[in-house]
Amino acid sequence: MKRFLWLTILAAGTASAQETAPPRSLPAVEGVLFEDVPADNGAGVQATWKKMPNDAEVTYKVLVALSEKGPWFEGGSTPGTESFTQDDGLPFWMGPPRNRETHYLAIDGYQDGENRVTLQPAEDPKKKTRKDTPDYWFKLVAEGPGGRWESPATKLRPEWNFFNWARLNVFIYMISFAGIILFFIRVARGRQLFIRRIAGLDAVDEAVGRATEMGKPIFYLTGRNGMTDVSTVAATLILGEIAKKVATYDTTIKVPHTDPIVMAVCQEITRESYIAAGRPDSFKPESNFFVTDDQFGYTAAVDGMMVREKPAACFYMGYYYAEALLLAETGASTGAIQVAGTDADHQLPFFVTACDYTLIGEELYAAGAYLSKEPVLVGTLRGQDVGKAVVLAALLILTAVATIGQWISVGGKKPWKWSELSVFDFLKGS
Amino acid sequence: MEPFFRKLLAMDRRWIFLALGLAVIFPTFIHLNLPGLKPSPNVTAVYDLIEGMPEGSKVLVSFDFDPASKPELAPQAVAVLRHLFRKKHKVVAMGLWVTGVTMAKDIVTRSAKESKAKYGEDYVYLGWKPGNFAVIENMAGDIHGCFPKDNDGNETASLPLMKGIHKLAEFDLVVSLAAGSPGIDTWIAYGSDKYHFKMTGGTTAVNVGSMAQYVQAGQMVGLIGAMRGAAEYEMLIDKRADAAAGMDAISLGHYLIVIFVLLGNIAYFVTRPRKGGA
Amino acid sequence: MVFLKRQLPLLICFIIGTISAVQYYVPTHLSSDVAEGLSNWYIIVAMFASLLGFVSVGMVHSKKIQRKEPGWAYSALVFLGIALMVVLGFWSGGKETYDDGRISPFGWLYNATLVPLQSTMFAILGFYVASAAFRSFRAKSFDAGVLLVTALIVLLGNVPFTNYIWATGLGIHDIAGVKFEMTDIVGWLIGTPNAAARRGVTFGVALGAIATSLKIIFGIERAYLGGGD
Repeated sequence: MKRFLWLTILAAGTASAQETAPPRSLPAVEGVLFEDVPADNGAGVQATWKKMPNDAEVTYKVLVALSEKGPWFEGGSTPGTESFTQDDGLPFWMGPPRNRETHYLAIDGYQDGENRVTLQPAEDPKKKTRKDTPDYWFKLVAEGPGGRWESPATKLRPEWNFFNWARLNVFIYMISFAGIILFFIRVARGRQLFIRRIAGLDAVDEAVGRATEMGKPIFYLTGRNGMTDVSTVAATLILGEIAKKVATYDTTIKVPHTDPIVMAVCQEITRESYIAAGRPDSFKPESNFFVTDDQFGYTAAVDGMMVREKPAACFYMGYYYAEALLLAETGASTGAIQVAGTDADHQLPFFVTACDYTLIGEELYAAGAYLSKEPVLVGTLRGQDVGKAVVLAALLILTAVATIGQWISVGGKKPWKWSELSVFDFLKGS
Repeated sequence: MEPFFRKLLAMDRRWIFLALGLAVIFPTFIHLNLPGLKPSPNVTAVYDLIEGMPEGSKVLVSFDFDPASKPELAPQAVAVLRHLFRKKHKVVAMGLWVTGVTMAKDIVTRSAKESKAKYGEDYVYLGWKPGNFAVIENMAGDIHGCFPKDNDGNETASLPLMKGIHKLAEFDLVVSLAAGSPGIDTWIAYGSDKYHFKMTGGTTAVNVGSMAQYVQAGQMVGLIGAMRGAAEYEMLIDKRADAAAGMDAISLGHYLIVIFVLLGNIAYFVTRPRKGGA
Repeated sequence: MVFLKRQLPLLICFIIGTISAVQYYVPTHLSSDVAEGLSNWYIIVAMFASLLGFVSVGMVHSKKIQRKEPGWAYSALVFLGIALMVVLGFWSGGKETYDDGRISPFGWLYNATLVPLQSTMFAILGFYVASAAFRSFRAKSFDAGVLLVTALIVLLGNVPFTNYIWATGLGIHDIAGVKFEMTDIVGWLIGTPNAAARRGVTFGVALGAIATSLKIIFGIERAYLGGGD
């Protein structure tokens, strides 16, 4: 990370010569510093300066120009009572020290008439050369009832960076978690790992058996979201396992869809399941069909089908919104055995009320591993559990630290510097 | 008593529907004007945020709902827009739900007309674009590229208001009025968390619990919850409208459900088998 | 064939997945251009995919009409509805309101059919909540009892009139100096135990989602391509 540090001379009255320099009756602002914003796309400059005694009546402005002589444009402004380094939004391992003694303003462009012009990085990857991008000049202006004060102009070109260090914490989590998952997949290949009972998934056999006995169809819904949603992916995986059982028992399955891509994927999965069960001839492509992408149009259509066809079993897997109860209540009124699985926490109460079994949250993701018993998938489950244990331990420790820090500060003393939740800043990232 | 409660438990659910229907319709004809409504901290936070912004602040209002949630979210939208226009803020409206495009335009146009706001200068309606979260990502880089034309087919770049706005981070505030996803959570995950702009919004009753987490975590400022939140906002801007009028129906509906739950439980305890058996 | 059906999609998935993950940590213009390009591609693919949906709807309903299955007339209505919306859409120039403020036939169809139909469907939810609460919300155990009492407090506390009775009628404002109005109790229930439970679920869901994404990016989970291997 490369930084440009340009420290202005503090004395008042040394500001660059301005033809229309206003009276300088305000006291000189101290510690004015313009720097490149670290770890950004090269369109940011940050200004810091010390808190002044007359802040309550002063407005600060950062002016930007393409040459030392101007013309000057406004890049940003703040009342003197706001914008301290404490609120700069950067994690604790970056940026200036956090306090309420230093002002902070980030500038990513300037206002030229009606247009907002974004700052160009010193080395724009598209332009390759420094020559194509301009130098920028910055200065701080304080304005108040007592008059105006200007800092000397400072030359600076913002830099773009390869790595966003503000996201270092997320990066560390990602790498560690991926490592844990891959490690447990390896372990699971060697020996069998325990996986706890999930009642809702044990009921799959019962549901399929019931449908076969009654000669009625099974309804399988994959939720309202598209393939970009992990819960939909999980729903399609469970469909594969259920479709195998359906094919084996020669029962009918109907999968109404609200997303055409999910429909195409599910069609393929169902076909493969029928082939895997040794009954490719029984596969009907129309068992997966698109209804509409409209939420309540879809709900009305599926409710109608349920009422008319009285299914033996209904599966609601994936992500749901307000339609959850409309579907589950209608399913319940037809007497179907109902299994739901969703990570939509706001719809869980409805499914729990109206369905016989409900997979809560991540149980939905575990379903693929549970039904298929594939060692690789079971291994990832164990990895998830270890990841969860790490998060839980971190939460407990940090909650304790924060609580102790709070007690100390409540006692009238200043809390430990580092326990001013900088650790939480780390967890929260930028 | 037991036979009565047995009958009650076996009651056709359509009787429940009828009772609830009557409870909701009754206050529509006879206004009860039940007292007790006062602004909650979350709604006040949204109001204070908009009230505290300097005149002419740029605000993006995203209509992430469709006509289904209109009764809950349209009063919120109207109240917030009235407040925005009253404070002379610049409003850019859009939506992530295709079925809400026309409804959103109608709400924006009416509110603007009422406040004598001029199209292109005081407000702009961009309309809808497919892509869900991808639209937010595109807007973060280049709004004009993402919406080359507004909903009426005008060149976005030619609208005076849009000349000064090129990317999401240039908005002083983004308001998402959302009935689900894409909505507040999408704006936070793909927008404000990545590109750092101020977020607030409103949602339906069923989603209040989930969205309140974002307020607690500081990822958004305040939250308007359902029709009640809209009624509170109407109170804050001192303009009683649709939400306030609907509160009686909501109140009676709530009371009736409480009665049903209590009755159901009494019936359950009275009729449940004393010693084993079914 | 195997290459096209298995290896190529896995390769695309790996490359795009890795780029998307790395892009989050790289703040350069190139990185944001890549993200924008990918989201543009997603929009394009999604638009083409909607064609798939249209074809599926056409196939299902035309078969029903051909075979004269029970309720085939509704299938005919589907086509009629689509045709009507398209014709009126073109006729109105794609506009819901004309420049002079008049509502176009397209806008009228939207306001007169879609708006009330959707509102009705959503409103039914209220009725279903009432019926589900009556049918299933029982204090069958201690846990269920706690849930029931909490739900009743939240339901009652959400009605402003209850707060009015609590504060004005019963005169309860605070207990031992701590503010204790009905809204405070509801606020605490939603903001503390409820939010804690939701966050617990969210943590599990987030880790599960990351694990599933990793499995897909690395090609460990490939059942979504159809079949397990």
